[in-house]
Amino acid sequence: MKQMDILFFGQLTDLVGAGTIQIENPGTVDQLKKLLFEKYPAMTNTSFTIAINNKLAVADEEITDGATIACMPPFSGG
Amino acid sequence: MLEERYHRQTILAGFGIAAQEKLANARVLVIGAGGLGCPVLQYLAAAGVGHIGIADDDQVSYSNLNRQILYGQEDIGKYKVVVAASKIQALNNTIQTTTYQHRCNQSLAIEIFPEYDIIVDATDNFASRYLINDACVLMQKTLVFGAVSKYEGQVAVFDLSQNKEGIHYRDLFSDPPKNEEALSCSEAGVLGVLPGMIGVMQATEVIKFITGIGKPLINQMLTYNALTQHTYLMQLTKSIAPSATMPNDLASYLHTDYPGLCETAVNEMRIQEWLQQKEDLILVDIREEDEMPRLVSFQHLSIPLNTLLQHQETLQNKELVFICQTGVRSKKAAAMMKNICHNVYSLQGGVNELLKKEII
Repeated sequence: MKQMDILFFGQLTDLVGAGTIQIENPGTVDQLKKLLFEKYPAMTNTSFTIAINNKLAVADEEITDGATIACMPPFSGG
Repeated sequence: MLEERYHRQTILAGFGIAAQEKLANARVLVIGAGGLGCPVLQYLAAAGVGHIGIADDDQVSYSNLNRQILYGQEDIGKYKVVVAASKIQALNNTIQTTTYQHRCNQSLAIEIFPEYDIIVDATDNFASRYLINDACVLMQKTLVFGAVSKYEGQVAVFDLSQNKEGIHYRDLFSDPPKNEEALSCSEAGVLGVLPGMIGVMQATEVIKFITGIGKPLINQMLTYNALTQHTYLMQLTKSIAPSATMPNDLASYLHTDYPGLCETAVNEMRIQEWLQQKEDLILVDIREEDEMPRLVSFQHLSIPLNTLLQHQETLQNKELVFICQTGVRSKKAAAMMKNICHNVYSLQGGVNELLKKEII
């Protein structure tokens, strides 16, 4: 399995403890979420959206090998 | 004199007198005159946007001065809209300003949004952001969005003016998050220049949209990190999953409880209850380390709120009672830890209540 980069933004960086992690391609966006929730239980209570290769992804979207994934939370400050 | 004022931009190829006239005829509403709103207002006034509306209900405080650059020490206690309007009028008295000394709520949005071409979201909380987004969708207004979190910021343009079905904030984040999912600038801190950067980007997008130069960030969201100078650009698409809380029309919009949608119920514990049970609970002081008095007479952990998530493994499955100065931040801490811990409580009234009851 190919390793892929997952980028975290905003408060997710604190929650995960890193700005980037590497994982094996989990297959789909839903499976990626499941994996992240197992690894980082606090993410289950946090709103975030997922982008694949800089494009907002949909739930059952397939993740191609070598893709860059971003987990983006909403920011509230101003 | 007018020609001289705008000379440096009107000589730009692709800008010219025509773009300047478009700016002069434009009406822009800036909601929030804080860290984001200040640079937005300054640059829009300087560029010659003909009519600028400013909505904010807050007064200037010392803690605003590291980033809210329209205000000085002499303005402490004054209403931000009053100071902001007078400062930008002093910068450019050829433009008109209208001030709304109110927090933007649904009835104000319905009343005043039709008078403006572009709405700038420079607020600081989720409830206002969803309230503004939904009004822009329902009233078909172009929304220039900006938000910050510690060292990072987001900017996006949602052009709903031509198309009610256009992409908007809820296509990114369908329903309002709970307040505890993101710390505010006063809780997490913010580097002063960061909202400056993001506010200037919002002003840039407003000017581009009005004049038609370049490519506005329509249907894209830019994320900027001040620590690395990295940017991340996300292409947005229309979400297929419907939002559960988006009102369908202005009547249901008026009855949507935006602050309520962002709140999580937490268990509050009264001081007397805590005194009886305190042997079974871990007391966690989430105040900053320089907040006085310290809780020397009670066994406790000191974990400032903005570092709480880093301690989630230590706190997991424990029974905790959070304390802060007044009992507000401890509610947020309890909400953040609600699903990670066994039982969490917020101590009502906080340290101030302990002082009042002469317990410390």
